[in-house]
Amino acid sequence: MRTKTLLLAAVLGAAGVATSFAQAVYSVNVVGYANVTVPPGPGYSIIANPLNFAGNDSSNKVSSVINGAPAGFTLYKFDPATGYLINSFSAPPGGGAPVWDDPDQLLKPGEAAFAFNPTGAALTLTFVGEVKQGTALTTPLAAGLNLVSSQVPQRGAVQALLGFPAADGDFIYRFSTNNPPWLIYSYAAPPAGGAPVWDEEPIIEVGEGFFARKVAAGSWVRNFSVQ
Amino acid sequence: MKKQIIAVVVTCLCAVTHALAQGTVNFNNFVSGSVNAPVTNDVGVLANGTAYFAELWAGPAGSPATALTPVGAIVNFRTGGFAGYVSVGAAGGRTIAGVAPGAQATVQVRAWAASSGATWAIASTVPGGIFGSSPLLTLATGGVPDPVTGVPSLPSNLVGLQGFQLVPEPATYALFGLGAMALFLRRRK
Repeated sequence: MRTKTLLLAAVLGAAGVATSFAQAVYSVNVVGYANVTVPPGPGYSIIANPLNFAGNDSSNKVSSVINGAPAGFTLYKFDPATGYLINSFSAPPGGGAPVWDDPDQLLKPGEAAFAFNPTGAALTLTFVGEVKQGTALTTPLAAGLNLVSSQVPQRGAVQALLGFPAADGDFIYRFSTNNPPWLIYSYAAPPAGGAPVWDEEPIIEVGEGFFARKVAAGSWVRNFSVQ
Repeated sequence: MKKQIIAVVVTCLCAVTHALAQGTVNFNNFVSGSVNAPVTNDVGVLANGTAYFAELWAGPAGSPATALTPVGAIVNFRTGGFAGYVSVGAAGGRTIAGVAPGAQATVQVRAWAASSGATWAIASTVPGGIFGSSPLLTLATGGVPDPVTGVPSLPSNLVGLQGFQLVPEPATYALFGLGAMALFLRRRK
């Protein structure tokens, strides 16, 4: 998945200005947009919403954050307890504009979903919103499979940069358009003993989701600030 | 050695997933490009809103209609341009007990007028009940764990599902018939 993130330079500049006046405490919101490219279909990829639409989690409704999707576009979120949640963007059979099965379904930063592109052309989904910042950006992780993404729109090594809490025996699975589609990354201690290491640490793109198979439940907590 | 251990762990995890997993389908009678099976009421108007209920029934492949069991929640119908299609939102995924992931299942959509009762059992037996069901459909389910990652495949769409019309409960016809016969006999006397 090729992604391109453009944050508004003017706002970043404002952040710099705000920090230079250290007399008061300012809330520095960084807004922008991110283009997430969905490969040509018909086929699937795993996408994520890298930005907080209106500055709060409940604003990240699919009807707000997914722009530019064609009729037939479908999202499949994964709930470790109940399985897939299926949400199609369909036009009425008799004609009319496409609508979501569930327009209020949330796709928050940190979550991810399989996306079905029904067309033979690549799609560019433009996400808009704030960069999530704070000292406790928390993504819950169940034991077993989790479909997740980075809450912060950064490209980088999943643990070294993005702070994923890998534990001995964990796996990460990235989805590709190759055959077979899964890229598999293992985090394990050597059989002879020693600290666990990645066989190859995955690099996660902005707007990319992935499956994390956790040995034990926990949380992915990130501290991030644009300073 | 390390790779062997990983392979064993993954195999065990997949085995566990297999043991717990069941076949899955997408309970939706409209999926753009693949499923279009609207439900109409007893006068041929598309079932609309909360006046009608629908439910998915399913069982192992080859099951007769009488052996199917309900799968998941009862839902209403959508409105406007989507009248005739079930209102499942994003919760159309259904897990079919007793059917292994990827195995064939037989499914049926059943629908009835809300005025006929809160459940299929009531609506299909109450005098005057208005209800109907789709022809049985046999299809391969989803939920198949990837052999390496264990990530389950997506629920299968109900490709091949046929639309249907609700009809009054047959006893109602019988009552009409008895009434007509009584009227006829009375006239002859």
